[in-house]
Amino acid sequence: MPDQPMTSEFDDALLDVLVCPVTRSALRREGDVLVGEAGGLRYPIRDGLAVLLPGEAALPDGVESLEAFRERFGATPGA
Amino acid sequence: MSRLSRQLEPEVMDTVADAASYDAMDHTQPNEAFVGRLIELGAHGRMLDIGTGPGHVPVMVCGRVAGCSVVGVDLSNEMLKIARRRVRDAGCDERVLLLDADAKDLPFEDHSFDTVFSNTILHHIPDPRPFLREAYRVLRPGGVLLIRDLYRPADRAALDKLVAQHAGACDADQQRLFAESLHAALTPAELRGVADACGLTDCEIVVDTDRHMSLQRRCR
Repeated sequence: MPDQPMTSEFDDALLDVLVCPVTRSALRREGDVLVGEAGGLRYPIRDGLAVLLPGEAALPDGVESLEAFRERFGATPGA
Repeated sequence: MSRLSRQLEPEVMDTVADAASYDAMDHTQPNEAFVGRLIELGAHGRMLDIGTGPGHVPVMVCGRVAGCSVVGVDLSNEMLKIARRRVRDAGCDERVLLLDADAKDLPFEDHSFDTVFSNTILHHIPDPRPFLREAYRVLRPGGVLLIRDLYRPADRAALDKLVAQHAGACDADQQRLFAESLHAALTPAELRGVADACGLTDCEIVVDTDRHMSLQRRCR
């Protein structure tokens, strides 16, 4: 099956309903990245699809691991 | 013959081959039955499809429920790419939003959706409790919930019979996927137990067919 070309458009309407899954804080868009308001986890947008997986997010400066981030900023116990 | 114990399968269908193989199977009839049940339960408004897979259900729902919108999430990027093509081809881009997220850690505020549904995903998840808690958390009070899944047959003979009956015309890979899914599923009694443990006591369990069951709550 031939692959159709993908645009890299991310629909900004999604931002109204999305939160960071770890902190449950709002997200703001910075280019091809969604940044959590609390803590600043950075989620990539790849091929126009937002990847809201904590394991795929870039950690903010000074935080060594996702576990350490969850302990400091997490709204829920680590999954 | 001994009773069949639960045997997990991989949580993510993220190889291109598995995603394509799953997409090639004809799920039209079960999907139509699923959407029919959603409508009976009063599905409306902003909806969430957890584990949207190749995106058949959001497209069908948009065709049958006026004014709704659907957010579809899946852990598999490959599935989401297939879903996006399907949504575009159906002209539903404006009403269906897709993103890569984990059912156990949903990126939404509490009570964000009027309707939350999930079709044949639960058996992919080793511990169903975080999944159920999250689905319930993002549903608004009084909203519609429909979580349908396969249920595990009593024994190996019953499983083989279901595979022959419902996947007899499929290729060997597709038959294997179906058999593994049946083997990984909960029984209705197990689902009742975990639903109660997660506080979903106002949801009923319905055995729908020889292989499907639903955990559901109608619109109030």
